[in-house]
Amino acid sequence: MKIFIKLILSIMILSLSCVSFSLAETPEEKGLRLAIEADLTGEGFVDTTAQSQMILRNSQGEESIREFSSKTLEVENDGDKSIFIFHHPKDVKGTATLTFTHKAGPDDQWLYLPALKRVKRISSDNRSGAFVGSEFAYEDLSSQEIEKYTYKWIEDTPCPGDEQSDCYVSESYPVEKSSGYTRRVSWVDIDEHRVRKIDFYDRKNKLLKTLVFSDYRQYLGKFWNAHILKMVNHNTGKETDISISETKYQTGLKDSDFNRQSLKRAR
Amino acid sequence: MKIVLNFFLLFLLTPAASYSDFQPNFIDFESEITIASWLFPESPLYNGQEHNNSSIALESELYAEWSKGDNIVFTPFILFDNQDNSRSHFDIREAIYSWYGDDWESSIGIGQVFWGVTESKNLVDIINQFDAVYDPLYKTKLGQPLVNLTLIRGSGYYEFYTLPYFRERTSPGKKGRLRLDPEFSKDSTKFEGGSQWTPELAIRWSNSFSDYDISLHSFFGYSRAPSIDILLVNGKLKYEQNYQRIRQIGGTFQKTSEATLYKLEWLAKDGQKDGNFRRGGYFASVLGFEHTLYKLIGNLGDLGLLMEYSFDSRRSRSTDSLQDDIFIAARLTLNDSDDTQMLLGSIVDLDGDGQMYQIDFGKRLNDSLTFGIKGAIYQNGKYNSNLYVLRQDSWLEINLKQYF
Repeated sequence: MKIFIKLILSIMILSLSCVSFSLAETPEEKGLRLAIEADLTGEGFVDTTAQSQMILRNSQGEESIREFSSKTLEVENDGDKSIFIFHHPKDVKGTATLTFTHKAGPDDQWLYLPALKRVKRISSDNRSGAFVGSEFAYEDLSSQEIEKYTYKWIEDTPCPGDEQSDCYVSESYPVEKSSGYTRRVSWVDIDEHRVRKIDFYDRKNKLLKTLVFSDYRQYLGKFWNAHILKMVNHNTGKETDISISETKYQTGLKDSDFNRQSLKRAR
Repeated sequence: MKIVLNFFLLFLLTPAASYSDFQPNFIDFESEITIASWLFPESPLYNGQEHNNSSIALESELYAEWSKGDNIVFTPFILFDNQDNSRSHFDIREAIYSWYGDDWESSIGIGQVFWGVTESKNLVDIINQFDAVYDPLYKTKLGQPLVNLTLIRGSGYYEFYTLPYFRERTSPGKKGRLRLDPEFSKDSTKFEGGSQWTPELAIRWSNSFSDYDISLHSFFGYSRAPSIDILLVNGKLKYEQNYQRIRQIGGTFQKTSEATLYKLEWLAKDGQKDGNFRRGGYFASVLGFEHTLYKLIGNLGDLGLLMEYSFDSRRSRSTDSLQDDIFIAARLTLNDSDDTQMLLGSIVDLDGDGQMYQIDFGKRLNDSLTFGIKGAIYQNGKYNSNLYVLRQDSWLEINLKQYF
């Protein structure tokens, strides 16, 4: 249903902007329109699974490695459901989280601790916290819902690191006050709505981190996925790289693969 | 190695079907070795006890999964202690076969089940017995033989358990600390109203309603905590562990509100003997909250503040040392690449019957090695109280855990 509303909304906005140039969009309206268009390109994925490796690098260049797999299920009318399962290092192997993202209000999140066999409901208020000690915050990796931000278009420029392509630069402002950011500045290519780069500004509106996306591959002739994500923290000099392998779409996951019982079985 | 495991699994299961039917889709084998040293700074009270002991423990886990929706977990555990023979023990933590569909799961074998929401203790967590000699902080449990059916419905999760065999709590021997004198004699434990083979039943319902997680349970079987009989045999004092059949209902409640979790565990129990050897009904609860200050020190870590109140309507006749006590603790999670964590806690008895302090520290040294410090200080227990028994037995554990 929401998909339809979004579709109708974006068609209306599109047609409005085409028909009458006298009704010029404000930068905020344009920002929202672009965000909705980008979101629509990701609609209809049904479900995905992926294996990921994370390399954490401190300012002395020392590295440590994390490995995890993830499953995501698209939910009509609400945010996605997802499970993260850790595989490496071995002391956290089997630790898993179950998240029900909501378009409005806080997400529901459960943590499974395999040593205690305990499923623990946890607060999703830690969205600004570091994900397993990396430079990624939970909110950087959670399902990106339109409703969680407000938007403003800034300008159109050549894409960073890829001068041949055209990008639009857009700012997004988190709605949730528990976010660690005042704003994010995104460079997104106009052709396919692929995010190329994001600058994150902290609560004091100072540049905190930069995330660069690369190795985009297309799935089912429709969905573009970045396979390398590089995050740099400008405060600490620390870096985290994520490389994603074995992405699969429409694997037949069901709602019953995303409950507290299946969380205990997740491997 | 995989071939050997496949072969082993093949023989575990009925040999009626062909090999390919039984070849698991996924097999995993992991082990961990823990070397731990315990230090008791205060002088022992009884003959045979020492200031320190060391132990080595091995736990392995074999996991196999079939695509059609079933799996098997086998987790043997063995510990050797250089002082206390009673602490050296073998246990099957898990040996369980599970199969499942979209809205149900069933399992049979030896399993581990956790119920509860609070941190200082888990009143409602009754399926498994504690491995008290391995972990005096009561977080580690013995494997429990069980048959389980779980139904997942819109109205919640319904769990049904039959427990065919009762496990005794492990207890220290003559050379061990943290005990009465003389130590419990292992062969005279009583199981009132039955035997270790008298079946037990449990039912539980749980569900989430937006920010609220709620559960209710009912249990018929043996109390996991023993009551202690004092006997005079040939003019010598003797302590015996004695388990009674109980009937219990209880529940949990948690509200997750931004950075604060509000928690409650409660139970009403009938049939267990109190400190005056009288059977009777009683009510107990743990009520508290956990509030987390995220990114407290710059971006360095999270500080969790915990406070819980334990109540037991038997008060001073309670067999539980937490019967009118306040638990206050701080949990620091550095969120660094070593996963450094520390919990500092205190439990204070509101009737003035002493206090207890706890530490639990852990960090990763490398990808397959972790380091931990645990300990407890027991102070000012009133004469004859549970805490008084431990008055000289404050302890510190240092451990290294190697995964391979």
